[in-house]
Amino acid sequence: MPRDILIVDDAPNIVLSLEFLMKKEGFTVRVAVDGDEALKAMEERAPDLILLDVMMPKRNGYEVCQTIRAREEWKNTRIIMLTAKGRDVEREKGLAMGADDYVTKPFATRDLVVKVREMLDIAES
Amino acid sequence: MNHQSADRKKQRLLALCIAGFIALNYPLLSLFDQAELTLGIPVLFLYLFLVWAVIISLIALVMETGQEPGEER
Amino acid sequence: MTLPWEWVVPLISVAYLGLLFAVAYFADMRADQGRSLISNPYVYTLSIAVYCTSWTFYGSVGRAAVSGIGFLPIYLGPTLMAAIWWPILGKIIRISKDNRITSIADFIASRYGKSRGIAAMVTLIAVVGIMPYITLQLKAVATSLDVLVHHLEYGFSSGHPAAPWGDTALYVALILALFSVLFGTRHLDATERHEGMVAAIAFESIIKLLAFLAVGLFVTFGLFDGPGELFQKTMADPKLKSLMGFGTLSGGYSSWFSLTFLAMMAILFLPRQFQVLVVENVNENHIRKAAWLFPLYLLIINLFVLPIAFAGNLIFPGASADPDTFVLTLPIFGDQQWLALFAYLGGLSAATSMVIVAAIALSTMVCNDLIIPAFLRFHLQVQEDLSGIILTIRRGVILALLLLGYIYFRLIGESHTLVTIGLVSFAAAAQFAPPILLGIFWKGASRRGAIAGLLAGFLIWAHTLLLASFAISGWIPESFLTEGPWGITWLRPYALFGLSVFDPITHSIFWSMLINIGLLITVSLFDRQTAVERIQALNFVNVFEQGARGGEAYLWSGSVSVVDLKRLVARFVGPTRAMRDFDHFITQHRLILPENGIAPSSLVAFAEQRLAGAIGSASARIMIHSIVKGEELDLEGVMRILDQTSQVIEYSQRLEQKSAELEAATRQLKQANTRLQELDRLKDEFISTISHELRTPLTSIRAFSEILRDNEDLPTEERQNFLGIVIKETERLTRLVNQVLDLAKLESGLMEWHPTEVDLAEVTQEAIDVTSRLFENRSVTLENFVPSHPIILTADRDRIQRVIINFLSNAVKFSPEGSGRVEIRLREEPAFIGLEVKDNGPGIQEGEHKRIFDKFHQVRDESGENKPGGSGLGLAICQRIVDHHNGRIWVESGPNLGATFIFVLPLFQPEKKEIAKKEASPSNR
Repeated sequence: MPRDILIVDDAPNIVLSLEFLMKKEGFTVRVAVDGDEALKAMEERAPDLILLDVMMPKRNGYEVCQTIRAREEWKNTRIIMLTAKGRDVEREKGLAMGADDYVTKPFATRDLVVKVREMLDIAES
Repeated sequence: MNHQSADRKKQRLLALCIAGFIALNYPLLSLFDQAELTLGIPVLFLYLFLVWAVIISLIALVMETGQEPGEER
Repeated sequence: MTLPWEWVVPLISVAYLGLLFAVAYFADMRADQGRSLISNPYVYTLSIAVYCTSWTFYGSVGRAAVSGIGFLPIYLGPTLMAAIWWPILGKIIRISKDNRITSIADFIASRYGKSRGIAAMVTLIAVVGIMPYITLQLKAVATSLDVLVHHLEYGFSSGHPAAPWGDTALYVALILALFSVLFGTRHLDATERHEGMVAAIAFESIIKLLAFLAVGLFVTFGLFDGPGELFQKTMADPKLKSLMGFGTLSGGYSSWFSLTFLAMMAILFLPRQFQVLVVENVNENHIRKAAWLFPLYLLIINLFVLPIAFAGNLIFPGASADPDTFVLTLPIFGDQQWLALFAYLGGLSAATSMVIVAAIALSTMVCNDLIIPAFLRFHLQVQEDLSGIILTIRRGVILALLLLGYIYFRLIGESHTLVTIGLVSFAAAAQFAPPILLGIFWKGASRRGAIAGLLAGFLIWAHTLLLASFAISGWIPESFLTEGPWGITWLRPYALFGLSVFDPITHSIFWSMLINIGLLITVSLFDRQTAVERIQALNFVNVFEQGARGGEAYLWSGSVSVVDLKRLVARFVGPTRAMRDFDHFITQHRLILPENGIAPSSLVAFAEQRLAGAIGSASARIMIHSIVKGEELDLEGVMRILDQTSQVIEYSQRLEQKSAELEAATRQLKQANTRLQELDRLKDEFISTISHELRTPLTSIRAFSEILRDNEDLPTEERQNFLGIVIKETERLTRLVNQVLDLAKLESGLMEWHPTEVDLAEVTQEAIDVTSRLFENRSVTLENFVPSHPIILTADRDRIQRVIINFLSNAVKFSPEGSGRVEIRLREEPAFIGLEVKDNGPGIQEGEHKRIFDKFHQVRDESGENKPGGSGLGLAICQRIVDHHNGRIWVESGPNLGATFIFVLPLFQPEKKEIAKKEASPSNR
């Protein structure tokens, strides 16, 4: 059964690239462009992992993260925060909000893929 | 308490002292230089002791009203 | 009655003195425990009543019996003076506390430049002047003792008492000396106030008041049927009737006047009054109550003087008993032995309290101002502890004083009444009034003036009263009185310079005061004060002004080590005490002082004051002088310091005036600080935002580049698509970088400007052309109202065009696709040109109108779904460009009303600022 990934970002080109990378790994991919949409997608079906941008209109990434972590039934969903603000404070804040990992934009695609696989506990093939 | 009322107090006391000095000396005193009794008391003695008592009361009045301890002079 | 009165009375006397001592001992004990008995205005008032001596107790009646009301000025004067205690006594007390003054001699000497000479002189005057007064008490006690014993033993059968006079007086003198020593010099510490003594004399004041009232009540209501009957009977006696008026008063009104004046001075300046009023004062505010309670005490104790005097005259007609002893003889006559004994104790109280206080006050003066200076002259470098020696000296002085009193008594005692002797002392004490009263209110009073006045006043007093009293006693030839010394008639003591209209006391007072005051003022006016005098004068006169106390510290400019200073003080006050005081001072002033370090001038001044408390200010100054190496400041130095001080005061006043402005400035600073913090926050936000804005395209570029690298087998179409994205994002990045750089240049003022003559109509048209494709893409209509004629102004062509392009592209972006409608027009005014771009988009909320010109502030439509692809820097850059041209930029809009972006530029740049501010005003050029 393919793993389910939710990509949340408001920059269309970034979404496009992430979608390509995840599909290539064989995951099922859904997309949301802001916080509200992301939560809507969660209600529909909780994914195995979320790639979550921080700076978005309508509920930023931290709020979304907090909301997800507050729900018992979503506790198995892994969250990787993506941010363009490369400061330590942001990283700390993301982890404090319940994110599992944290990636700074721009990211190396190979590293990101490895991180996602590890997170989903898939052995390197 | 400000300077002005402290000064005012001093002025009142000085005026009292001068007024008392005048009341207790010639020529006012000569008005009572009579060997007569009023209320059974020699009029001169009566006058002097009354003025004296009034001065004491006025000192008490000025000293004991108005200012708090520790005021400046 | 079979009691052996000749034994009982002396025994009771000694027992009573023992009781007094117990009171004093108890008070001292309480003081040591910190629970002072005397620290209240009532005890203070009672202690001032030491004014009422045996003169009051026996002598007033004696005088009233002879001259009627004539005794009263002695009590009216203090009442009048009490009225002005608050300003005068209050000032004297404050000065004395500040300067640790221990006697009236110390006070005068300290005021006049801490002069040893003047201290010695005042002391001599006080001793010589007060001696008669002490004698008076000895005589009163001795007489009362003899009279009491005699009449108790023998009744009135044998007429006048014939007791062994001299012996009694000598014993009395010795016993009183013993008690004075016990009261006054019990402590090893020579500087403290005498709490025990004050308690004892306050106690005695109660006893003498009660005793006198008891006798008065008994005489008035026991021997007679109330005052009415007493006065009636007196009126009925033709001899006594004259006592009701002024007829019998020797000297008449002038005497009345001078006695009132004399008593006014005496209440303040008799050494014993100065002692209880000033030196023993615990709290200045006690004056407040004492100022009327003390006169009240006087009034009450005098109520029965006349009744007793008249009763005595009626009962013992023809001077069959000494009027001075009526207080004793009347109760005995009424067969009230115990009342007589109580009256005697009251008289003893009056006498002993005076003797004790006077002896202590005088011994302090004699010791500090006569003996110690002489002693120090020969033993300046003696290092041993002198505190014990000082006390021994004081005890010796007390004994000597009372023995002198006894000798004086032997010389003149029998020929004078109590009151006459007392008045001689009053007249001597009055000599201190001019230098003190003028000294505390007039800075100009100088040392030489004070010496001249005091000396002359004292000599006149001695001549007209003291020597005259010797003549009356027959100790010097009587011709001294009648013909003048050596037959010089204008020097006759009772008619100096031929002036013979006054009684002796008034005569003496008139001349001595005239000369005393006259010389003090005249000499001072022609004198030049030394530095020390000037400083002390300032300290005294301005004692209530802030900063006046600092003056003392300037006196010593030389250097002395802390340890030397401490050793010196220890010599006089004892080492333990000195150590304690120094430690206290050092802690209080937070000084850090190595033992061998140089003492700061404040410490030297402190040591001097401490010494002054023990040995008087004059001696203290000499002692400090002996160990301080270096000179006192000269007058110029002192004046310079005073000048600096006044400058500092003036400066601080100016500062005060500025304080309001300062407060305002502080408020402004606070506001500025808030704004700076806001700016700092904005800067952080800016960096954070710019980082985000730059990283977003970078992320896409990198991601797609890597995808292209890692996936060589991508279909061509997809490959082209991804490459297109990379290129587009690169362009966006470039644009963004340029804008950021532009903004940075604009903000830092590094931007190069190229102002030229520009046709704004043409520039606008070009901008419309450039953006036409955007309009076509979104099918937005542009309505062009730009005039066809040239509109010339001076501006940077490219930058202005950029603003217009920005306006247009924004309008397109926010107009609805298809139905969008944008209008552009130019407005020509006399002084400026305006450009408007109006769209029919969602509009901008009121609160956003200013903020949209902020950096990175992006307007989003209601749904937030369409993020316009701007950097958020465009309008910020526009604003800075317009600002640079001294124009104005703003937006007019409301929700759903569309938005109109407007900028106006002034037509003429040189006066640009004026015009830019007042857009509507016509140009004057």
